Amino acid sequence: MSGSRTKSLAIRWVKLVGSCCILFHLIAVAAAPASVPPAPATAGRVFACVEPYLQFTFLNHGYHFFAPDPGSSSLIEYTAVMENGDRIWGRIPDKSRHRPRLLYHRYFMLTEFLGSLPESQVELRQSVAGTYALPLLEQYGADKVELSYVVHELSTREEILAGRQLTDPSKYLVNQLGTYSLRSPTQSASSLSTTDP
Amino acid sequence: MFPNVWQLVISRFKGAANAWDRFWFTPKDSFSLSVIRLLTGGMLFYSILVWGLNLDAFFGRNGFNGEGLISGLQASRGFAPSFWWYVPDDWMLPVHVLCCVLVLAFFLGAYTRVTSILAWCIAISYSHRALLANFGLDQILCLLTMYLMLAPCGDHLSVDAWLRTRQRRDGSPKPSPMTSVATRLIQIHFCVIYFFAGLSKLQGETWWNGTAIWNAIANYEYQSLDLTFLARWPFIIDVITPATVLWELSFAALVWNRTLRPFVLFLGVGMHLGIGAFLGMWTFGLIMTFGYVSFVEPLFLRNVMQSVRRRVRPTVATPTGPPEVRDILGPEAELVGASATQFRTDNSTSNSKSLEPQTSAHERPRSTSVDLVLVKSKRRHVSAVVEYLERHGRRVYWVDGLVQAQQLARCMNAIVIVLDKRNAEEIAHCVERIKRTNPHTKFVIRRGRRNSDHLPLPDGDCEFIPENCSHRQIRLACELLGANFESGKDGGEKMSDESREQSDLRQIGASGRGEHELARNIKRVSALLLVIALASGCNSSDLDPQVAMDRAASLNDLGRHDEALVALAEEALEAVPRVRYLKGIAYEGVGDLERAIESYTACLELDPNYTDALNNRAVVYGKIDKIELAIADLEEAIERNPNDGIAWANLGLAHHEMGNFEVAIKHYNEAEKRTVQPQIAFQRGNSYLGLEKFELAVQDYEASLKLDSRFAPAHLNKAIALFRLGQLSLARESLAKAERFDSDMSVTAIVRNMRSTILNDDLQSIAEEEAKRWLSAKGWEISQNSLEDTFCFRATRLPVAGDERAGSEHIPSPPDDFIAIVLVKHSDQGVLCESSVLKSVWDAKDQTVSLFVFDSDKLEAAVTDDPQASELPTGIASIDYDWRPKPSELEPVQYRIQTPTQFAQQQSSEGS
Repeated sequence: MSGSRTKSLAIRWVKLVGSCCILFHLIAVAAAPASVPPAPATAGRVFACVEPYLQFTFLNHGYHFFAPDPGSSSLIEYTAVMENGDRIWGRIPDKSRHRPRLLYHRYFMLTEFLGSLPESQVELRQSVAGTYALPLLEQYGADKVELSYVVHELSTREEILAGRQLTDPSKYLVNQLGTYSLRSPTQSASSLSTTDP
Repeated sequence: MFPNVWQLVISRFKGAANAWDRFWFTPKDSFSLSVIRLLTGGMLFYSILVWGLNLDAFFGRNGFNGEGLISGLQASRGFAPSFWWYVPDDWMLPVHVLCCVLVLAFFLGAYTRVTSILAWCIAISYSHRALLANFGLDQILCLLTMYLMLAPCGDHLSVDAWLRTRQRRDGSPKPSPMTSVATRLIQIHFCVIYFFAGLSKLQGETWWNGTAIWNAIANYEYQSLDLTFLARWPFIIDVITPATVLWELSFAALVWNRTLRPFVLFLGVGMHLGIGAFLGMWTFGLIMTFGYVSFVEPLFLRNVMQSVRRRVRPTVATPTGPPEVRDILGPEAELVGASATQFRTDNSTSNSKSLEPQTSAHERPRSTSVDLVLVKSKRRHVSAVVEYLERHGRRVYWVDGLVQAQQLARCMNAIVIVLDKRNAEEIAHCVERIKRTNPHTKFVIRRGRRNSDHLPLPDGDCEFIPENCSHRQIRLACELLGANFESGKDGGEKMSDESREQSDLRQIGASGRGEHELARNIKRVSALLLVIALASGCNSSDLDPQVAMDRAASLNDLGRHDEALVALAEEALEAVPRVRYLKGIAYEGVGDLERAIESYTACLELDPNYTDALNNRAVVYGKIDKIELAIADLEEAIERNPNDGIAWANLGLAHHEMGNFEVAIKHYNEAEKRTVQPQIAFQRGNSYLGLEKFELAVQDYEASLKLDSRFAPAHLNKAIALFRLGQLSLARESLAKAERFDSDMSVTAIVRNMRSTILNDDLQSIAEEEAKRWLSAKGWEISQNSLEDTFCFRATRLPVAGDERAGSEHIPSPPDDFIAIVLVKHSDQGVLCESSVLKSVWDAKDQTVSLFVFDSDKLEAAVTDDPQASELPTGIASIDYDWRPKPSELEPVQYRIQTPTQFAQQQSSEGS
């Protein structure tokens, strides 16, 4: 009988601790999207407390799918310039080259990340662009690579009804990011040299 | 006032704590999680394979996720673990292959306890390292693998399960509380995801002006199917856009509603499949729908699997679904759609049992609701009547005979509707039997040519309806007898045969039960919409076990425990606590107490708050004399539910069994505060009887009889108490009532025994039996009773081989046959015997007589002063019942019977 009681007590304690863990986890899970701006300061403070846990478990997400507004796409166009002067043009992502679809989305997310960065964060944008340039240089064995950031604007309903296509060239807004080259084979991305257009 | 408020607060807090406990820690079947593991593992494996297509680009130090950039981004957020940080570029491929193997093992369910943890580590490592290439798929993959890691997700559909089966290791996996935790976490996390996804959309102008969906359609980079033709139908986009937000915002609330859940999930599946088909994100759309499986009952998934297996590998095996209705009601029942509702009974009828008191069984409480029992031997019209009455809110059981009606009437206060054509005598006979079983039963009887006479029923207990009655007339007759109906459509009262057939089909379809219904559902949906079927089947999955459980409960109530066990034999039902509970009752009913305890224990493992199982396990413990365990269970039951009057009463009974009568009385008092049942006062009376407080015992028995004047055990024990008080005539009256009201023969034997042993009403038979037994043991052959008196029978000494002196010790010259007469014991007045026996003795005086006399020394000395007995044999005085012979006292002594005159003559001759 006493054994049964001891076991029952132990179960209760386990459940109590488990309940506390669950409660903490739920607060953390809710705090991540709740703290995405605009958000109350309290949510931010709670998130600050639980962020290491969320970061560790890869749960620090806002779940703002297609929000607040589904926007235009971000692409990267590059031109790899070979040592002999040949030029190879490409775009990230590229439906024809990046297959299967999941791989295409992986590439697409790279460019979307660049597009999500505010223009005020110039250094970060440049750093990301430089990072993206490095594998392109390696992939093609190019001397240098010219990167452009392309915004593919959305067509309106009226434009489609008027007969325009989604791929209408006028909807692609191109901004050159720069030209990137390797100074040495072992050079890291952070030490890439940039040439402003 | 404040203590009341405080108690209320405490009570509410405890209620909330119990609800929390049930929500999170009720052990669940892990089949759903196993399905999620299979789906998620497959998706993770695919995702990792795709990473491998360009491993260097995504994970290399000089890849798109540059080491410096990623670590810089993550630096301020905390530690983001990933083994990729420690893998040199040259080792990336071997490590990646190893990861693929491990994830494949997780997908297949090999060593799942380990591989699930490794899969989560792999998932977060890839995601942390390739941070910039992540999207929703990775987020959901990581959270699902994390929750799957917590639970035994490899119990089913896995290599582990296959190995377990192959090696015949310890049966099927047990439900685990961690399954419940993981399932709940997935469910709540999905609610959080959708809620904030919806909330964040409210910030966007396009979600308000209805162009957001168009923007998604018009995004060429996402597009996989061109939907720009919708530009011509803007209203579709205008509807879909706010509907999406509304659905996302309401998901967290509506998905918990069992009725709405299939619709909510159905819309979700539609939305995500749409995302997959039109926006090209098949992986993300699918992984979201995989999470929906956590909202689907494991039993439904099992049934789907079994159906799929059966379709793939058809066999002639017997169905594994819930047993057919014809198991209960015969083959004809399957023809009737309404049969699906037969014998569905109130759960309360089987939710409470109690320890059996020392003298009688604790009667099973009857359902207090009035139900309708339809007696109709032919299927024609039955389904239509049942449907009509059920449409008006009444529960209807269809039986094909009054015997079944009687069985049901024992369990509930019912109105028996006799539509069968029987003659008046037959109905009167059956009605009388049913009324004896339950006096509260009322009748609606359809008149016919053979039963036009009035039945001997009191006013208000019976209503007659014409032979060609409508459904409405049946309903009205029931209303006159006290049944309340809900208002409903009265259409369709005069249904054609065709419409009745349709009704049958409709009812079967509406019931949504059983293998046939499931198979039909499978036929209706295509393979591509299987996921939709999962969602829409949530409700029907609830119905399947419900039918089996209700029927098992009814069978238990009817005492057909074997059939109840068959009804619950489906393996898929094992994870349902109430199934284990009902199995416990059934095992208890068939006398397999060990399995009963196992079943109750299993039920409690599934749901520790199932106090009825605690109570019933205590009952079984009580039956096997483990009273201490019974008390522990009952105390726990009371702790979990202090308002459980039955548990209090049983605790009292357990203490009564321990001899702690005063403690028992206290518990009975507590029970009486919480529930009104005749058994409680009765049991308290038993405790008073134990304390020899006979007057208080009589008071309690009378209190019990006020609640149920036909409670036979109370009459019996009242007789005992009255006997101890010396009130023999009242005791005899109570005994007579006990016998009269003893509907289940539970006290008859006791009453007879009491009469024969205490009130000595049947001394002769006892003495006769014991004398016969003695004579037989000594080698006497007992022949027919020649003298037609109970105490007199002819006996012949059988020859005993090798024993020439057999019997001669007591009978010097044993005759071929003689009359053996059992006489009686001595008393102050001499040897006592029944007068009729004495006459037989006297008539047989010319023959050798053996007298079985107790204390023969007193025989010759006994003298009677009774002048009426002057011609009786010497020493035999009068009749008395106050004795009971024991076998050891039955020694024959041969006497020569003399009348007093002969005795006097002998004395004088000896003197001279």
